[in-house]
Amino acid sequence: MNNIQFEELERRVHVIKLKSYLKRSVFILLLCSIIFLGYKYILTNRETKTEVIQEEHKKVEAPKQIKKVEVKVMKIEPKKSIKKILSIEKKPLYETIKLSPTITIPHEEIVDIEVEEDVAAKEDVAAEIDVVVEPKRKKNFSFQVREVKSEEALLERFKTAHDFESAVALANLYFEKQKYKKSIEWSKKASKLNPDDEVAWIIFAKSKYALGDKNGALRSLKLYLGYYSSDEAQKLLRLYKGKK
Amino acid sequence: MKKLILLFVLLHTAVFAYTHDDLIRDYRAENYKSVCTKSAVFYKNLEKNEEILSIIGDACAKIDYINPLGYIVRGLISTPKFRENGSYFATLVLQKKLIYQFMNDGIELKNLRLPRSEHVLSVVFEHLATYNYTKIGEKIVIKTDSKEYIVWISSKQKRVVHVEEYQHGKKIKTHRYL
Repeated sequence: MNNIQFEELERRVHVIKLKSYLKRSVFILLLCSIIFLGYKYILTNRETKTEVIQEEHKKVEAPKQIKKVEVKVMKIEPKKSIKKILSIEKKPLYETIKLSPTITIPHEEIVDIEVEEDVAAKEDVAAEIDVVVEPKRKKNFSFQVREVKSEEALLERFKTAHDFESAVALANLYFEKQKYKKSIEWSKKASKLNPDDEVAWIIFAKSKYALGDKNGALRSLKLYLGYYSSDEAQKLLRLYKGKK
Repeated sequence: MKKLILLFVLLHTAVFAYTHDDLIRDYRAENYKSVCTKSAVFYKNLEKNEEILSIIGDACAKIDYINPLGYIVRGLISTPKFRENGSYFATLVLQKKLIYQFMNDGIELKNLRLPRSEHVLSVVFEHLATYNYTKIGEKIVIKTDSKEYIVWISSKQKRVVHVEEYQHGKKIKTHRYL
């Protein structure tokens, strides 16, 4: 092999080595980025969960008797950044319609649910089932709130907002009306939107039990308790097991 | 190697994705620029939640980002409130384009009657359409009971329309439209 061939060979080896080093460094860089991003994601999630737990800590109150559900919404003065723009007082330069945007923030309505005595004490099951839908904790900011009066209003609201609160309110409403199949349907929708929340699961289990499907009720409660801890769900499970 | 790069890209997208909760948080904190700029992913992908669309539209209108409103209006259809919001945003888009055309080409706005609102574009349009202004050099001066507006167009290649808002003789805000 002469000198020129040898040099050519050396050059090729050098190029191959360079390529190999480059590949390795890109691989290491990517790995470090993935680890860093994963860490950041976990950190963000943890912070969000901590905030959610601190801000939305629920107290489960179990009223002893079933009562009629009356949904009230607290009206709060709207903040200036979230309000309907008022019409100006001066005379307009020409006659035309006046438009102003109405902005409402989703998930922000205060629903104060009060329970009163119910007729459904006939059934043993119904007499022992407590409707537990926690009133939402009031927040410090103000916003515009619509009054939720009826099934139609809730359905319309869910149609536009697709939110958990509407779904769970509907599930509860149907449960109170003893329309247990619809209550099951809506509690399923609610739990899909917010699987962490116990209320939807509890309404589901109670509806199942009311329809005579005790095993279904027990299964759903055990499934929920397998992932989350909930005093109310535990109480209900013990109650249904006792009745078995 | 290719799979790693793909994984990296997906992870990056997941970590930095802008959600509805982030949007609402920014809106409450009056970070309208953040709401408007980061929410393109919602309205360009046919977001169905009309409350979210209204929030995005309101935030964009407040910071004079009028062009995204054209995307937002198509989703506002289900209730009278949302339809009014849609008409409001569509009106702002049209008024902005007409004012821009007026300043560039001197078109006649007389007898054009569009819906009114409290937005600066509507106020300016209303006065231009009724000849209720004074022209001083190349600038147009509009006086209302509470404020004064000076409308002018820049002479650079990108001819931006400026609307300066004055109250008690002091400039309080400048709006720019392209």
